Amino acid sequence: MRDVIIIGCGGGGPVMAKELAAQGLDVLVLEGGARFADPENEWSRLDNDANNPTSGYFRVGPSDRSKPPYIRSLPRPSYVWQVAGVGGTTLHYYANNPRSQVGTFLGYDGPDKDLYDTAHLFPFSLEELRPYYEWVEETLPVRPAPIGTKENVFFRGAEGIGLKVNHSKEPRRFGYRAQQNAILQPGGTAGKVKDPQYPEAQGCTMCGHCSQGCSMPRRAPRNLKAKRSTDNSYVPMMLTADAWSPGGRPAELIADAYVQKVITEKRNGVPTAVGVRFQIQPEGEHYEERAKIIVMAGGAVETPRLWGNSDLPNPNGWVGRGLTDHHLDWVVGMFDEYTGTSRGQNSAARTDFPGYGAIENVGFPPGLNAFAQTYSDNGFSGSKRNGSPATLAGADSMGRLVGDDLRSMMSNVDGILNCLVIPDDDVEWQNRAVRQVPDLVDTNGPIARIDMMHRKRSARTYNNREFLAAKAVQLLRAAGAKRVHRMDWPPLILHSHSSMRMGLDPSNSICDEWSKARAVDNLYIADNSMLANGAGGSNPTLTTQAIVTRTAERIMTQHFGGEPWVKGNAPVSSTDSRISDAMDAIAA
Amino acid sequence: MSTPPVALERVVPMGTAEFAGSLNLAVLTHTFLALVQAVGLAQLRPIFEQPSRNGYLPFAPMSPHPSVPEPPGQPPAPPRSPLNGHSRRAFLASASAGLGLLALGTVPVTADAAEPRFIEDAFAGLAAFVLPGNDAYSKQQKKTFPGPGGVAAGGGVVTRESLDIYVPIQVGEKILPAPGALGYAIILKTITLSVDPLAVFGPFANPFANLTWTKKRTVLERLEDLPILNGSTIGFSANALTTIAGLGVYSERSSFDPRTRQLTGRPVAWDYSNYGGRSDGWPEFIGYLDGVTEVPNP
Ligand SMILES: Cc1cc2nc3c(=O)[nH]c(=O)nc-3n(C[C@H](O)[C@H](O)[C@H](O)COP(=O)(O)OP(=O)(O)OC[C@H]3O[C@@H](n4cnc5c(N)ncnc54)[C@H](O)[C@@H]3O)c2cc1C
Repeated sequence: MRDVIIIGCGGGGPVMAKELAAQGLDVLVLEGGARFADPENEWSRLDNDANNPTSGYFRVGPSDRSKPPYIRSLPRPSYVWQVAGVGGTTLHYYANNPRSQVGTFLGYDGPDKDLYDTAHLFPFSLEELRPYYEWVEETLPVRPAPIGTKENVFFRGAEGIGLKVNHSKEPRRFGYRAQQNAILQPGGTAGKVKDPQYPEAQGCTMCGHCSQGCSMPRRAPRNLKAKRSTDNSYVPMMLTADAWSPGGRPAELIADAYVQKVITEKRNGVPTAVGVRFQIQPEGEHYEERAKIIVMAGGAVETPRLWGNSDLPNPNGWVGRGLTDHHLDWVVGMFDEYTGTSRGQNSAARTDFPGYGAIENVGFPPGLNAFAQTYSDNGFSGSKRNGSPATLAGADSMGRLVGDDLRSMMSNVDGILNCLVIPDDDVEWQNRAVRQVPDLVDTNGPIARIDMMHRKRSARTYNNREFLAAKAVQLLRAAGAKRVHRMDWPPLILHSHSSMRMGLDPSNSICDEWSKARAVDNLYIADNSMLANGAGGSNPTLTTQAIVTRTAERIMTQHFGGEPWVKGNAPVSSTDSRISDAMDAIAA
Repeated sequence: MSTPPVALERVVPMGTAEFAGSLNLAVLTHTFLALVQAVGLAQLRPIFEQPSRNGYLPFAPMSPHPSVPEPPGQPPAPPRSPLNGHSRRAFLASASAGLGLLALGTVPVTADAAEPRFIEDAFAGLAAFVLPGNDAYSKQQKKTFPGPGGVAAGGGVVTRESLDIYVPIQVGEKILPAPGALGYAIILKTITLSVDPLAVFGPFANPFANLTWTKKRTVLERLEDLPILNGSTIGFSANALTTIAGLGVYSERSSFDPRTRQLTGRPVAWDYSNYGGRSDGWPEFIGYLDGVTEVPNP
């Protein structure tokens, strides 16, 4: 019997594991995807080999790439961009770590408070969460991103549309800033040469491959790889908790272990989580393991699926409902000058529009740029439109780019600049991720199904997207773009949240304000699904990790007789040399 | 670390394992059933309604995905078949061949679907559409570019490989080759014949590749619009075909050895996108905005 079993080793699960392992609990982490223990050799960092949605090494599927990916029932058209493996979707992520917008919290009383999704606020104040934000920001650590050419071009555009710089972690007015991100700042030869090596180079080497997994600088210990995806930060910490935390106990990790059921028993008439069943993928043995506390951290799609497959109660019908995805869009500008879009950090600059969302600059190698430019809900550019309600928003053209249009836009990958439009979108009952009904089954049970009413979003969501798309077009023109194209993406679900949301109101939430499942005892949720809303258009992971830290403290104090440890203390950084040494010992 | 320690309690499978063999068959069956329904070929239905060898009924009807509602303010479009009378027969022949393969795993493939180039030509035709070049497929579509294009870049290969792994066919112990791509090659052919029946005459084994560029676009638009694919597990991939090809035509695939997962040279797509190539680093670090390297807490 374990103290705690954590299902999923992505953005949230390892945070819970690290905090509780540091307190000396017996923690087991089960991850359905690959281990990725040797990234320098395992990750080619090539567009298709890494990012192909069905066969790439970053996909949702078992580690054996000759086997098909896990199949979901998806809305049409759409694409869900997640990764199964130790690190989860943070393997892909750009490590942007803004705090949730101030108006998404209970008690916010600013003059713009009505601009937010006021029916679905976080069930606590920003002041309550601040110490946990600070704790995670110091653990990862989070700092302002370094600037390269594409950031300079982006900032020129931001200035050109009248925005002012605002470095604040909690912006309350429109402005631009370097991303607060969790990528170690460049030191030594990093960012200065093409072939940097640790220890001469430290931190980000500006290689441009955040999307293909960060294994740079070469030869650096795992916890000193630049990008703080959890595989490089919280996972090394959870595995070495005895080395850096007095009384700590290393968490145990099993990869390729897919949990198919949360086991419950009735205690005092209340369903109570007591264990899990899992299978080694793709066709290995089945196991059952018990624990005092079960934590679901499979992400905003798989957590509601597992909930359904475990026949857990759904008294208010909100399981899987209220999925937010930021209703993303993409605007690209073509320049006569070098923009450096394929180089440097994939996303290091942003503009904030509190109450509306944000726009960030994103750069890629050519394959992913072309992927982004051929994905549209608006038909082929220059041909018939597809009935989408999106407008040109001032752009020269809209829709999928193919043929001469694609060749011209892509003739110089370092002569384009991309804007990712990230609206603050509403929690809506209609949008959901659930267990497939009626059942279509894979080896792990009935598959997940996603419904996203893309063309029927709330008026606020739609208007925020149009507002931001127009700002992106203006920004690119002000930066000097010769041609601006809007994609009008279908759902590209890479920020997925709030499908098992926390809230004050039991009639429209699954978790209470401590991320504990209301309907099941001893069961907590520690991934994006428990977020109360879409974080105001802020990239979600930092907020998830801060809330998970708060929940870890709650579990320790409520169930294991511990004392709180966050307020008034400073955390050990994930870059600590004790972690590097202990990881070396594990590898040896 | 990845093998479960003995301390864990092994249990007997819960009954999901027996579904494994029939899953992919079920998924592909959805595709074909959707098309069958689209063209009113009800006579093919009984084939799907047989329980599979594993005792799992592969076709479980799904409630439709409501995610692509009609645009606001417009009356719903009348139901439309992508096929005319002539091509219904062609579809029946192709679909039967596909189904024979799928459901039985043994039936020899008939006519054009058996052509070794039937699948390759479909996806090379798609790659040439997404990025024309100086290849034969681009010439056939009457839209070319004086230099390598999507075909040379391996865009067709990427699309085919992606579909095959996404929709492989596994019947019991047997895994049949190229079925996902075969399914889509048949779908592309079928819609092609509704756009231009004369496309059966041409240099390529799949009529889609014999079309002009503009007609290819019409075929892909019809594929995107086919309402019958709503609610199928592959509906999203029908819309993603062009996007996967987009990734492919700008990817490393022309110079990538899938066995070693190493580059064998510089990919052509890197030349025509003026890409500096994969690197461990770039001298791109200029400094910090306003020199700010740390932001104080509020
Ligand atoms: C291209 C891209 C860029 C992004 N950039 C950013 C960014 O800059 N900033 C930001 O904040 N966010 C970003 N994101 C989003 C970010 O990656 C997610 O917010 C974060 O990873 C979510 O964490 P999670 O724990 O909810 O889910 P995940 O990270 O998806 O982790 C879930 C894990 O659980 C495993 N799992 C699921 N079900 C089971 C089961 N039943 N049994 C065992 N294991 C299971 C999965 O395999 C997976 O590894 C980006 C995403 C993408 C795709």
